This record gives sequence, C-alpha cells and structure tokens, in this order.
Amino acid sequence: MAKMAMLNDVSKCMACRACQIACKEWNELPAETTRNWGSYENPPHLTAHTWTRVSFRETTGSEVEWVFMKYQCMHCTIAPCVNNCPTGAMHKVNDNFVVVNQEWCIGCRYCVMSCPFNVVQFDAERGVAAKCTFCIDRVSNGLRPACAKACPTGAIEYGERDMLLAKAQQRVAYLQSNGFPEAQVYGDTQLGGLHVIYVLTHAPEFYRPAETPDGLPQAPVPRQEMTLLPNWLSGAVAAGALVSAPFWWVIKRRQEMATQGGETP
Amino acid sequence: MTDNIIWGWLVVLYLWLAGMAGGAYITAYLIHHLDGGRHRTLLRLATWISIPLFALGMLFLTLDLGRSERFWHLFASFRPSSVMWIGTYILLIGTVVGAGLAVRELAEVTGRQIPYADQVESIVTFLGFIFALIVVGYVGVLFAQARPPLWSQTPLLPWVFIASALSTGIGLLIIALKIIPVSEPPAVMPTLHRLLTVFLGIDLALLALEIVWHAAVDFSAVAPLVAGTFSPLFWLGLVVVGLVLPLVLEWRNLGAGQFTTRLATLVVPVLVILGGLVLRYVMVFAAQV
Repeated sequence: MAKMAMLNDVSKCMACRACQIACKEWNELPAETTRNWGSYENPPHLTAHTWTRVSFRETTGSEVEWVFMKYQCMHCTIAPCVNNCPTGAMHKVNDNFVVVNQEWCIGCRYCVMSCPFNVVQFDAERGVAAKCTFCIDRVSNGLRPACAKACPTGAIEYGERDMLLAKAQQRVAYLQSNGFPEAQVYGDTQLGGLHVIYVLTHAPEFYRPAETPDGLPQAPVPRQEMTLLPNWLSGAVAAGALVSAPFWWVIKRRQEMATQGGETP
Repeated sequence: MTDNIIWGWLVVLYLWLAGMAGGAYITAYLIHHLDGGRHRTLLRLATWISIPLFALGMLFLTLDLGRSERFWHLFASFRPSSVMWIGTYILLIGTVVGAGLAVRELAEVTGRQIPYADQVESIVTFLGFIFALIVVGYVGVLFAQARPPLWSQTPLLPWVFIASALSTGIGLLIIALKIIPVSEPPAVMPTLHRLLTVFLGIDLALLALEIVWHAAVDFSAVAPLVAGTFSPLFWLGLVVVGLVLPLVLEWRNLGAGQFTTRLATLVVPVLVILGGLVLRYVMVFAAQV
C-alpha cells in the first residue's frame, strides 16, 4: 500500500472545530463537560473521549493574531508507543497508521508514557488506551478520515504522503514570501517521518503550550530505536559494577583485618 | 497536581518492594559466596524475606493494569522491542526460580531429602541471584525508554535504582537479623553495616551526579524534583532523612564499633528503607507533573 498521510495546513485553519465534532460523531465518542478556562480553546486537552482538538495560540505583536493548530496522533513511522507496547495491542496498519486494539490492550499505560506528543490517553472507565485511529475503518474502505471530510477550508487533506509533502513544500514557499518568514513543514523527518504532516506559519516551539508535554517538539523523544541498546548496556554495567566492587572491597577488607588481628573472620 | 499521574502508587510500591527483595537476596548471596560459604543461614533468611515481598510487588503490578484479567496477553505476544515485555518474562522466569527456592526451603524445614541436594541448591541459588540482579536492573531501563526527560535524559536511572535496591535490601537484612533469631557468624552484622555505609555513599553520589547531569542538559527536567512541587520531599525526606542522616549515624557507629545498639540496628535501616520508598515516589511522580 502506498504511504498515506494527512496534511494539516495551519494557515488555512479558522478553528471552526468541525474536525473535532466529526471525529466525535464518526467514532461515537461522548461529549465531555468542560469549564471556561479563559480561552475559546475547548476542550483544553486531548482525552480518552476527545481524539482530536484545535489548539489556540495568540501572538502578542503589534496586533493580536490567533494561530490555530489541529492536534491528534501523529502516526509516527518509528512509533515509540508501538515499540514499547508489551502485547502488540498498539500496532501499525499497512505500515501507515498507528492503531490500538482495545480488545487486546491490558491497560499498562506504557504507550501513554511513551508518546512523544502526549497524545495517547488512558480510558480509565474501560481500562485501555485510546487515541485517533486515522479513521482506519473509513480509509480502509477508500474514504477520507472524518476530520478531513468535515473541514470546510481545505486545511485538512488526506492522500499519498509524497504528494502531500510536495504540496506542503509549495505552500511553505508561498507563505514565506507572503508575510510568514518562519513558515515550515513539520513531520517530514521526525521519528522516521510522521503520517500527519503540518504546514506551520511559525516555528514548532510556538505551538507548544507552556507546562505541558503537548506540542510539536523539533526533535521528539524518546527515540527507542537509538536508546534501547545503550539503556540495556547502562543497566548491565550498573548491575555489574554495583554488585562487584563494593561487596568485594568490604568483605575482603574485613577478612584482611580479621586475619591481621588474629580473629576468626 | 495528580491529574496527570499515569503511573501511580501501585507502580511505586512494586519498584520499592521488588527492589528491596532483590537487593536483600543479592546481598545475602554475595556475602555467602565471597566469605567462604559461611552464611547459608543468611541466604535462607533472605530467601524467606524476598519471595513474599516479590510476590506482593507482582500482585501490585498486576492490579495496576487497567484490565488485570488480561495479564495473560503479555505471554501470548512476542514483543522484544518492549522492555516491559522482556521484564514480564524475567518475572515469569523469576517466579519459577522463586518456586524452586521455596521448594528447597520446604525440603529443609520438613527434613526431606532432595536428590543431588547440593548441586540443586547451588544452581537454584545462583539462578535466584541472576534473576534478582535483572529484576533490580530492568526497571531503570524500562523507565529510561519512556518520554519523561527525568527518566530518559541521562543514562543514570538504572544505576540509581540498583544502588537504592541494594541499600534498602541491606537495611532489610539488618532488621531481619535483629528480629529473627538465626545462628550466623558474629561478623555478619558489622559487614552489613559497612556495606550499608558504602551504598548510602554511592546512593548520594549517584543522585548528585544525576541532578548535575540533568541540570547540564535541561534543568526543567529535574526542576519539579529539586525546586518544585516535590522538592520538600526530595530534600528533606530523601536526601536528609533517607540518606545523609543514616550515613552520619552509620559512620559514627562504625567509628565506635557500636553495631548492637538499637539506634544502629533498627532506626538507621528503617530510615534507609523509607528513603527508598521516597526515592521511588518522587522519581515516578515528579516526572509526570
């Protein structure tokens, strides 16, 4: 199967949140009670029942500018949640999309702790992990994801990844020469290449809310494929070093002292 | 503060109990074998202590699952890229080894003869040592493979957890030897106290190195621990009460040779064991806020 992806062009998003509602409708996710916390942004975080949301950011230059960004699972090519899942419940479909089999998930929450984007949620009621499925039931049948279908401005597109990347580069070039010098593509290389690509009007750090792990880190961590062996090595060396030298030193020293003193060691 | 907590108290308790159990067994095994095989009673005592603690820890870990009844899915999968999957098989093998140790102990208690008893004992206790070593070590690797920078930003977490497992395990052995009457060479208690002193020093050094390393890379990772929500517990509960105070008391006792005082034999190891619990708590919780 061709590499498929989603393109989120933040410069076209007007925060109507039709994508949020379409996601809820198609995936039969219940509404949630939220409180006004001083922003039109609602709900404030992804949850087990909200798999996609539009975040609001404000620039504070000469005039107030709202910047919106749709946020959901990035469907990483090298997905830490998939690598760390001990049962295989979190898995890749067609080498494209990251999907959790909630009937096989044991609720260990290692995927939640592993997600570089803080996207995977724990459904405490059902005891399993929950997140965007890329509408796998729709795309497997030749349909667009519900959010892409509902988007009225064309900010969300679905298609072949190479084609969307080329389109994103063109759009970035246009934005850079039209008042957005920081415009850039995000998701082309991160974690082996994301299956959700962004056209950003600002640097990725701008979209990262303060004091949360949400956002688009320039270099997402963890990179398990790079750290697994060093971490095992560190553990092995630590175990070897800590159980050899101190014990040998203390016990042998006591034996030497006892021998010198003529005592029974 | 606790809204974001994904891995909570049950995980903390598992880390604490399994670490302490593993540390006690490793300590007893090494003392026995490095000291001419004269401490078989200590090794048996460690076995009796470690198995229930380890079993309790595993129970907590299973209860922590969102769907505990599906725990068998772990054994119906092949996921070598997952440290948790590997850890599950380590725990499974450890349970078999633990059962072997328990059978050996039961045979000893009931006076029944086991064929090739010496060889069996030698193999089973060695396997128990290897298993204990892996149990105290793999959890640091598991955490280091997750997102929170407090766990993954430096390679020192396995070192911190293993050193703490050993100091708490030594503390547990000291308490057990004081409470349970067993015949051991008198030198065993001073040896345990010296080991405890050494490992308290190692704990402190590793913790300091971990903080400095984090601060050098990105201080925000370690900020909740040393200057934020968890800092009072970290500095007072762990550093002062759980490490420095026991180290000072042990140092004084070593100098005076007073290993039989109540202060040395009970208060110090209790502080060390509680410090081990605080270490796990702050390390697990502070990474998630």
